[in-house]
Amino acid sequence: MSRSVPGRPDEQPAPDVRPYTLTGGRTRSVTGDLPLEALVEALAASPSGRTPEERDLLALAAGGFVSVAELSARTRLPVGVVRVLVGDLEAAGLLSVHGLGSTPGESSAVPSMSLLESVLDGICAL
Amino acid sequence: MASVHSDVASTGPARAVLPPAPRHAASSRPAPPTVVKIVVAGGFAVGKTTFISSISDIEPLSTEAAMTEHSLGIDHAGAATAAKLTTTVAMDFGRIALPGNLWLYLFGTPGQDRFLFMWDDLVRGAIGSVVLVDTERLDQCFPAVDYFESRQIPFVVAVNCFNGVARHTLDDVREALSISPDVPMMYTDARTRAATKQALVSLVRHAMQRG
Repeated sequence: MSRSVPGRPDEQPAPDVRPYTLTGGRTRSVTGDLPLEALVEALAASPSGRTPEERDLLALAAGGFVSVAELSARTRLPVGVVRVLVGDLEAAGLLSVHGLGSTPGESSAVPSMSLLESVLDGICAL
Repeated sequence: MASVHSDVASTGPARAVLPPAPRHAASSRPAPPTVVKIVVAGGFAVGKTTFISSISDIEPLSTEAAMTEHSLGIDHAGAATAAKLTTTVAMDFGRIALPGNLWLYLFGTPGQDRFLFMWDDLVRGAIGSVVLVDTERLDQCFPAVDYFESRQIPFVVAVNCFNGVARHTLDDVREALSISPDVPMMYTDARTRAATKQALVSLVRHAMQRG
């Protein structure tokens, strides 16, 4: 099995289309920086008048809860772009975002002791 | 008094008057899972993605963070430049469904030191981190250990035994990395679900003791 060339392990060529042309140059979401693991849920069928990228995100989120990170992985859009577009779609009432027991867009809370206990029990039961 | 709309584009429709999206009205939609995450850190090719895939419910996915670096000096090709360089950095992650409608995400850190600034994003709200160590390249995990220590984020150190061979004692590794005595250390085999599970259990227990 061959490994990648050392020195440039995590990098890939930049895409032909600069990612932030998809967001009108914005790098910040209207709702603040969503955590990578924030869950997105589509509220409406894919409407007209949205960009292809936005429709892709809505289609992926129509099948159940899906994280910002998964949306990024499945659309091949950078995380920052997904955050901006998800923020726009949420503001338009087309999807909702679920945080980590804290208000979406705010700093994620450190997990509570009872949550950690549930996680521990869950991992032990795997 | 008129309110100030500093960020609203002039072409934007009346977004501000839209009501907030309904959140779980009395509908039959299932409740969203509670999400937790653990960060898997360590140097390049230490086995982070292997570790994640050994226990993830889904094939590890890779997400890209495009970033623009303000290059002030020399670019990768050795040419002097003041241009912005856009690179993409891949982060691998997996997901485990746990009882009680819990989803545990495992995020691998980008391997190189110069992407450390991205870790703030990754560790926000995390339970803590498993730092994977390859004893042949101990220096590669210094940045991770420093990072989590300085931010008082719970972490455990898992020495990945390639081919099941432990070349150094855990005490030697602890000393070489100057890891404080209260940080759990263990051998692991990133290919093995049971070993990965044990590392995660150790981390969550450690986080609970810290909490």
